[in-house]
Amino acid sequence: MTAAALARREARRRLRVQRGLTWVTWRQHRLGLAGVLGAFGGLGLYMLINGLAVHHAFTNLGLSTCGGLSSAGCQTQLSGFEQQYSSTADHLPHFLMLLPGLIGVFIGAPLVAREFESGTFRFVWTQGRSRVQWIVTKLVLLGMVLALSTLGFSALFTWWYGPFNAISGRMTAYGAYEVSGLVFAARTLFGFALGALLGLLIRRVVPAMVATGIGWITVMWVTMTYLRPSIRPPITIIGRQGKGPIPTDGALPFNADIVHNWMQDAAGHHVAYEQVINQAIAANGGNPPSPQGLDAWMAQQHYSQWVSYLPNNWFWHFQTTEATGYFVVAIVLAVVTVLALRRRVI
Amino acid sequence: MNTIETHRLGKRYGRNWALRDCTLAIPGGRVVALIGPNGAGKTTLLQLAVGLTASTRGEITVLDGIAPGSPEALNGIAFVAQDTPLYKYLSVADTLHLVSSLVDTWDGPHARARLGALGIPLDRKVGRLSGGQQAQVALAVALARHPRLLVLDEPVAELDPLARHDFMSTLMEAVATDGISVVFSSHVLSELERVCDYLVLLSRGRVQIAEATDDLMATHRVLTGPVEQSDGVAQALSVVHERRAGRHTHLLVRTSNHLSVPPGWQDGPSNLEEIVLGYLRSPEASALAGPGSPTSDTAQAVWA
Repeated sequence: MTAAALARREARRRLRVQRGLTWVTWRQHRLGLAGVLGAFGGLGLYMLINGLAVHHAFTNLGLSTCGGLSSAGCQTQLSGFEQQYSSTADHLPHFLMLLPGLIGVFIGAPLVAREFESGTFRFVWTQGRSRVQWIVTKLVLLGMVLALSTLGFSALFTWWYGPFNAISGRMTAYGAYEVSGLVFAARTLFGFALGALLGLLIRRVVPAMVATGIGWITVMWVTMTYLRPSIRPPITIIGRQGKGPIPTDGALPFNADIVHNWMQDAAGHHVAYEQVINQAIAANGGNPPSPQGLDAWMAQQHYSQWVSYLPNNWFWHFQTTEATGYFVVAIVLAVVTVLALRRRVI
Repeated sequence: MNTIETHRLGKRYGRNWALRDCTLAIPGGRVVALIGPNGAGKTTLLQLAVGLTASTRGEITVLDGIAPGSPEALNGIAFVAQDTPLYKYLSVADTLHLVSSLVDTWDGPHARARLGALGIPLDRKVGRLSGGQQAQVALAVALARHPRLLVLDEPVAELDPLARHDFMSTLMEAVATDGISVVFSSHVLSELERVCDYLVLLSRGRVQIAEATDDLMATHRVLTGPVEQSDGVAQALSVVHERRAGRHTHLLVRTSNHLSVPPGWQDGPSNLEEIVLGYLRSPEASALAGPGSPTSDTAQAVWA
């Protein structure tokens, strides 16, 4: 046989091996994938119907033609729009942001743990394919399906959230930021790989699922609380004295995410907003001062208002940085899973 | 050809040695019974041979020098694990499809014909089959791979007597027609003579016997005589096990020579079950040293 014929034969063999492993992956996980795609499909349908209404209302109220959402001419329509629709936009992301964790718990954790728990690892890993081939195929194929479906879902979410993005932006932690862009998909892959590895180490389905859930939430919380702020510190500005809690003189972009706002006294010490208000009330003889009165009093007392915020156009910088981090960790976890399974002492 | 060859093989789980200094060569073309009490290391040895686990020390090769777990070894060996684990949620047909997707050699008609003959419906979920039927599915799947070596770990331990009999019949029939090498572990001693022609006895993680059953029976005798002479007689012989019953003592003796029976003693043949029980009761009798040292050229056990 010539070298070319040998190479062709080897290529055919590889193709057959891959096709077989693909079928096995499909047959074993079609139910789980149907669950994931069904959930995304159902939520997507809701967002599609709701999104059409929201976009329609946004246009109908003239919010795209009233001359800038921060302009005075838009405020009446804007408050009407927000009253009707922004509750869903605020609350839905809180729930959606947990979906990647659920995928890790229900698809990732049982991947290897179930084989151990039911003893079928002794059946499936003693056929003609090594357990390394088996786990690599499963991680790659399922990972790709999960990545594509979550990216698609994030794209749909971005469209649905469009009007609210114009109003309040999408840098909000625990909000739209977590479901848009790349972070949602990267966090899904992280949860999936974490579940696979924990399932391999724990070998029992339910404990592995619990550990995956706890691990995923912990990592997400640590990321949001400690790591994300270090991507780029928020911009801090001094507001005009005595202009209410948030400076409205245009220094603060309309749809920026306000991270923090506080008062400072003349010496530069932080003062709680309530404390300032209470002092103003006391100075006013026990009655709440008028806005003008409050302004004047604050200016006289040398109180100043400060705000730190994340501008909405930092979105992609934050998203790519954070998603890259999650993605790299997911790859590392997947590689460790493969190596651990190869070396696994059973 | 040697189907499984080990040299000073050891496997430790935590602080316990499941298998220790195990050196043996299991010849091919045989039906080999791997026996021993629970915890003797049977499952460990088989899992090492099929590549499910790695040794702590020593070496093991399969199918004439191949590393266990390599693609060639995986495709050449079919393994029926303890309790015959299968995916309960798959139909029998899907189980066949699954295995056919994971092997290089597959004889689907062979498997379907075998299951058809047993009256096992292909569209039934595996989880809804009886234990005996599940074992038959696992066996049919293994045989349809036309393996060079079939390894079974306690295949009938959980089965009722009828299912056990059916399973062994299917196995023996396949061995007769396909001529495959078989290694199976068992702690069921009855019927050993009928089903195996080579015997490996593991005890406390060490090899006690590894020999063809014919040779074992040819080299073991039972001497029966008065208790008071027992010690004297035993001294001159390679005694595996001594059993006293009333005024008589039974000595299981290993000898290659013709025995000159002392006066007052009876010399009788032994059967496989007796021999195995004798060794099991005397775990230290593995050395087989002295006058009855191994003569059979198939006995390749090296005693540590």
